[in-house]
Formats: sequence, structure tokens, C-alpha cells
Amino acid sequence: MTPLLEVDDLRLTVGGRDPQGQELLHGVSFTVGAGEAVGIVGESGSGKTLTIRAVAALHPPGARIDGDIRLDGRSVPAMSPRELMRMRRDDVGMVFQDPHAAINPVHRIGDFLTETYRKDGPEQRRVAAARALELLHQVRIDDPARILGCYPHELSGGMLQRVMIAAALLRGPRLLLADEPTTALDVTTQAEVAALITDLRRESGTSLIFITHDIELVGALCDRILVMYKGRIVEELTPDRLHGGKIAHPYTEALLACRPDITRRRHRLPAVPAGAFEEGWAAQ
Amino acid sequence: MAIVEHSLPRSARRQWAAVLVAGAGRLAQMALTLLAASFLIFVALQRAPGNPVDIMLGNKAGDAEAVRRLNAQYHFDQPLLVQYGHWITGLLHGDLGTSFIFREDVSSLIAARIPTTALLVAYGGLLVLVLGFVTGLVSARAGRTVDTGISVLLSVALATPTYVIAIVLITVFSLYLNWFPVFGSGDGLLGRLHHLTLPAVTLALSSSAAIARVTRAAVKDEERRDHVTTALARGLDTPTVLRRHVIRNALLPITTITGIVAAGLIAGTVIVENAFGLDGVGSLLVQAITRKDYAVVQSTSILVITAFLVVNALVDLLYGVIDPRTRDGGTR
Repeated sequence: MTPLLEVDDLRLTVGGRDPQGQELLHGVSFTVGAGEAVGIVGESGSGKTLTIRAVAALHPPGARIDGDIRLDGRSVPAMSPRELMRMRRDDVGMVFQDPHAAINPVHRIGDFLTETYRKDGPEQRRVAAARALELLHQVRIDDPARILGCYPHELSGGMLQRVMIAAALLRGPRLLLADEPTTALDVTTQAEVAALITDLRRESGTSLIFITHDIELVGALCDRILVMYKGRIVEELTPDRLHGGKIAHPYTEALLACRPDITRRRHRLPAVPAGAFEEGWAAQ
Repeated sequence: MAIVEHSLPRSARRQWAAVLVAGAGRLAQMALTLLAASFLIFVALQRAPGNPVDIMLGNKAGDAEAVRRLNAQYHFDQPLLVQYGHWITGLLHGDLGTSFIFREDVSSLIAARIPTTALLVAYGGLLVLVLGFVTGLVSARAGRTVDTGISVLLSVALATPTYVIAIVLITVFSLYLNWFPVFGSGDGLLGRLHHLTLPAVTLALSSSAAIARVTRAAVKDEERRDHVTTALARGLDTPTVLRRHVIRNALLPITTITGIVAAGLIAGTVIVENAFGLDGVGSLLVQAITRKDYAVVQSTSILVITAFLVVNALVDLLYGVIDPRTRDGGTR
């Protein structure tokens, strides 16, 4: 059986001063099976976000894509604008980092949730409204009927991120792309939101790509972990190898060493120096 | 589209009370502004060189008896504050006084000229909004060549003084092409609109350039927002994203600049009406100032300031409608 998503030697180049352009992703390849959860960790600028945006063809305008991305065997870069719109609407859901920035402040929550049904008939819209209400229940929002009439600024970050998750799942996507969905939230809310994403996607059998800086979190949520560094996937791990497993790449090792640990007393947490593991992993 | 009607009677009532209090505060603020402005204008006019009695008497200016009589008639022999008191009492009773120059009630003098000016401002305002908004939107969405071209034109429009625009338009469209009359107000609605087209364009040109610039910047700014990416990621089509997420949100800064531009439009009628020989409120104001016709200047200024205040109040009201965050005091 072919996997749901195949990313095959993905290269992304943006125009720079260099006439050749600047390559930001250097041949990223991975697959996500149906119902599977894959985590991507790595430092800022390692290409995590670029990778999943390219999956939904939301890479920056003017960027060139080489290699292939196939969703259900269909090439995303080869899709027409209409096919692309349909794919984004029906097959892929996205959750972003800062819900207050990612949701338009001038529309009510109810309008936001059912927005993708605006072009459908009134019957469809009623169904959508009912489904929105039900999903708000599922993301554990109290008094969802009242929330539908609220504006985004009237909700806390955690609440609004639940709304975002509900919106992403409303059309029953096959793949959920979560781009640091817990980073902007406080610690307790982080855990709740992460648990919510996992529960809901398991129930519906939706595949997940989860991006984060938090390697422990990803270990708890995902079946596989990809470590990205400087536009490459440098390591693929299973959660059990996070603790005492064999680590192949020195960056992963350094990353794991940076985790705080309550059983050890240290004066300072070690940090991974920027660019420490350049070409050929020479620094180690 | 509210999906579920939710009503919270208590909080709704409290909200209405808050609106009423805010409205009353706003009215008081407007009244205070008018009072201060009228006093400033009154004092400035009194202190300016020249004497209305001399102007009224013309070549009989030396006649001491006539001067005394006129001074008494118009209360010029009394202290400044008392004179101001007389005028403001009259105003509150609906009596705007009598023009020295036109020997006519100020209220009927102004009333006769309001339609021309109101039509001119409305016509110009419409041109400003349509021209400014469309130009700005095209500029923001078009390629670099078109954008640069429009930008140059806008700079020219913004930098050219109104009276120069008036002269150029009259020369080209009235004298060479003969499409529009050179001056006068015209008869009937169509005739009036025909006569007012060049003045309205003159009035609108630099203001629409301002609106176009703000529109362009606001649209470009909104296009980069995260929520627009969300809208695209949810598979909405481009026209919907543009309408519901880009333009809808860009309306906030556009509304702000519209309020500022409206003040410019109202003030601009003074120059435009003189340039095109229209007998509106603006040209009346200029005639009255040069001849120290106190009563007319005072009332006309009050009218202009009131129009400006009302426009600004409307803009603020509109702001609340457009941006839900400003509705309850902007608290999160």
C-alpha cells in the first residue's frame, strides 16, 4: 500500500543575489502512512515549516520546488489552482502557532468555522453549522453555542487554538499539519492542546505531521520523529530511542543533551551552538 | 451570518447604557470644541487689522456721528466678551445676526448657498472614495511597472496645489475641449452636476491620491498577514480571500484616512468655489473675511466646523462597526 504522503527529494530554492538562487531545503524525503503521526523537530530555520507549507503548496511565492510531493499518489506541485484549492479544503487541515494571528479578528468564530461552506447551499451551511457546534464540543469548549457568536479577541489563546483545531478538522481531512501548535500557549494549555490533537486524530484516523521544538512532546505524540538540521533530515527516530537509544547524528545527540532533567543538577543547560554541525558534521 | 442567535439581556442592556454614555460624552465634547473654536475665531477676527464700520461707511468714514451710531447698533463699543456673549446668545436662539455687507439675514444668506457646497462636497467625496480605493487596490495587486506608474501619478496629484489643478483643468477641459463650463453653478440636478464636475475633480484629486496610497499600503500589509495564509490553507478561492480577509481588514486604515481627508475636502471648497466662481459657503466665507463681515464669518466657520465634527463622529462610529475589537473599549 502506498503511504498517504510521500515527500521525495524535495528541494526548495528562493531567489537571492545569487542567480542560481539559494537552496533552503536540500533533498528532503519522508513518508507519512495513513493514520500515522510523524513529528519533525529541529531548530529555527532548519526548514520544518517550509517543508510542511510546501506540502500544502503554501511555500513563499517565487520559491522554486524540485522533487515531488505526492498526496495519495497525486503530485501536489503538478496540481492546477482549482485542484490545489480542493485539496487544501478537503484533504489537508492546518493548525498554526499563534491562533490570535492566524484567525481573522473581524469575523465571528461561527463565521470562521463555517467559512469554507459559504459557496455551498443553505442546507449544506446548516449541516456545517451543526458540525461546527459538535466539533467545539469535541475540542472541549464549554458553551459552544455562545462561543460561535464571539469574536477571536474575546477568547484566550488556548481556547482559540481549540477553535483552530476544530476548523482544521471540520471537513474531515486525511492529513493534519500542525506547525508548532503549542508554542504560543502556556504550559498546562500546551499539554491539553497536544492531547486534544492526538485524541481527535486517533478517533478519525487522520494522519498527522507535528512540528515542534519540544522533543519530549513529540516523543509522546508521534510514531516517528524526524530531526531536521539546515534544510536536511539528519535522523529518523522512534520515541523509545529518545531515552538511551543509539543516536546516529551528533546534532540529535546535542539536542537531546539540552533537555532539562530533574534528576541531575546543572549550573547551566547546554545549548547547541548555531551552525555547529556544518557540512560533513566536522565540528564533532 | 450569525449561526446561533445568542442574547444575553443583562449584558446587552449594560452595553446599550455604555453606548448612550459614550454618545452623550461625544456630544458634550463636540459642543465644547465648537464653543472654543467660535471664541478663537471671534477674537482673531476682532484683533485683525481693519474696521468693519469704516468698510460699511465707505467714503463717509470720517463722520463721527455715523461711526458712533453704527458702533452702538452692532455693539462694537462694548467689551469683547460682551460682544461674544451677544453673538452666542443669538446663536442659541437661532438668530445668526445680520450681514453688514449684504444687509441680509445670515441664516438665509447661508441657507441659499448650502446646496451648492453640499453637492460639491458629496460629489467630490464620492470621486475621492471610488477613485482612491480603486487606484490603490489596482496598485497593490498589479505588477511592479503599473504600481510604479500609478505611484508617480499619485505623487504629482498630491504635490500639485489645488488652484494649479483648477487652472490646468479649466484650460484643458473648458477652453480647449469645451466639455465643461468655466464657471457658475448651473440649473437642475443634471445641469448642476455638469457644472460641478470640474470643481469636484479638482477638489478630489489630491485627496484621492492620499486614499489610494493608504489603500495600497493597507492591502499589501494585510496580504502578508497570518490569517490570510490560514484562509488560503483552508482552500478558499482568491476572490473570497481578497474580499473577506484582505479588503475587509484593510478598511480600518482606509476609514481613518477618510476622516482626515473629509476635513480637507470641506476646507478645500473655499479655494475651489473661488477658482470656479461658484456661489457656495466657501466663497461666501472668503468674501466675508476680506470685508470683516463678523456675523457671516462666525456662522460660516461654525457650520464648516460642525460639518467636520459630524463627519469625524460618523467615521468613529463606522470604525466600531468595522473592527469588533474597538467596540467594548478595545479590551481583550
